Amino acid sequence: MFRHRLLQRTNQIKFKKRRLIMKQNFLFQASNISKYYGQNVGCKNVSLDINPGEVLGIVGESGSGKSTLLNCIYGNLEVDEGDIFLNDKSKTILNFTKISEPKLRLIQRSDLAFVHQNPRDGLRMNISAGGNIGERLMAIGHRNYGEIRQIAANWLEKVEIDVSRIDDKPSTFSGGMQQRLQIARNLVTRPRLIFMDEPTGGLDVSVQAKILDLLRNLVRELGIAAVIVTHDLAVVRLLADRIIVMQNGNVIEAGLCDQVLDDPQHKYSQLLVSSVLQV
Amino acid sequence: MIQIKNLNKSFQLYNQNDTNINVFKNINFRVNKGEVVALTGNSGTGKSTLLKLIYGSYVISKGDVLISDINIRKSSPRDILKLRKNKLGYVSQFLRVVPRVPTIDVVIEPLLEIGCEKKIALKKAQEILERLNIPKNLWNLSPLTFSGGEQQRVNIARGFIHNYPYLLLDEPTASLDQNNKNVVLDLIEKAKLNGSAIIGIFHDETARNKVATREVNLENL
Repeated sequence: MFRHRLLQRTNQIKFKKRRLIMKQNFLFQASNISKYYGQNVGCKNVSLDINPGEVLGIVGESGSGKSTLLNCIYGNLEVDEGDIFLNDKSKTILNFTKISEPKLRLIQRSDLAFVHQNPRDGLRMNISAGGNIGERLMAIGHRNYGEIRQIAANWLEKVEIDVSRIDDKPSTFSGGMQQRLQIARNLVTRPRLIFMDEPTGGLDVSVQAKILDLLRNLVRELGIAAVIVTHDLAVVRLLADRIIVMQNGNVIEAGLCDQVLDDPQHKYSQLLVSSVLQV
Repeated sequence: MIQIKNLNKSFQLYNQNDTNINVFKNINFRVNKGEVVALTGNSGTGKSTLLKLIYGSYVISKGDVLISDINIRKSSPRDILKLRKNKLGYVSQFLRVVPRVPTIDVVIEPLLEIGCEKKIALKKAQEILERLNIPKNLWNLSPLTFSGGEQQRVNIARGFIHNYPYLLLDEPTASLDQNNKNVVLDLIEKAKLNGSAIIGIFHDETARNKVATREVNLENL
């Protein structure tokens, strides 16, 4: 009986805590995330939070845990410690580590989106460009073929792909077009938070600029929040409001984007910033 | 009002033999509404550094920067971003923009950020670009292809398109010809009359004498 009451009280406290978070109008919050690969640390004790419309950059060298962290907070990788909260479309706070697998998958396709570095990982290469976009719409309940095709055409236009290519398979597209198609496929469901893993990584510089401009406009026009993992400091400078710097799975510095890049306080961040080649 | 209280700045460079560079110590002054304070002193006395500390780009080592009632040292990144968006403008010597974005879009951006309607923003941008003598046929090109003086004027257009109550100007007239210099000085004069508190670095003495209400020499502080 006593234990039961105690349990009730702790639940009440938890509930109060959640209500407190809700008031702050946050969109996404990850607290004390740790992920281990056997003996090795993927990421350790990482906390971050994102408000609607904000862009957060995650920088660091290869192997610093950037992608691990991104996959953890998106729900692709199971975390060993920590909690991930999303304030969803209906203003309900969901804890990724507590909800069921199907529910998580649904959230990943409606409230969230994930843009892979390699568009082949994020596209279905054997269905048409229009189909790639339409599939996402059907997954959230759209059924009218004409309407789906129309929305797909609009999005191709938005990402500057010739609408006449709507029935072509992405395998016939260039790398830059594939990446833009992947972005369209992810944004068509109007996610509120988009995760990007080196979105401009394998692209030549002229296409990079186009995608940066596209992302910036979409973020502003649709009010989408984004988390961008990149090792390209020029890209974060142009896109991110705030950044976190990672080394060996730990966050070693976090703050205002230009402040961390122009006046880094940690030894490793200073090394990272001073290692960039000047063009 | 911008208030600088006992401001200290030093850089600790870990990867360069742990060098510690003291830029300045105990800077104190305040800038009221409608004032233009010109920072003076030789190169390396920390004029640009001071502007970056006020803007939040550099970390304050000791002391405080107050912008009306907001303490920059104690503000979160979100608070600083909000302040920059609405109240605090900064014209730097360098233009940093996404490649291939047309000049006109670069200039209207600060207005779109505060939720201004695109039509109105475009009209304002056209006015200010015309005033700054940027030829109309360049408006739809990226400013990264422009000459130094033209790039600087694009930066100025961005800084003056919104009436910021607080403005930081890092050599706004440095690479401009006399005619354009006068246009920029007029813009500063107008912002001053509008009640903005302005801190600027002007290497050109005549320009400085024309707009500055007061000078603060960083060497004598």
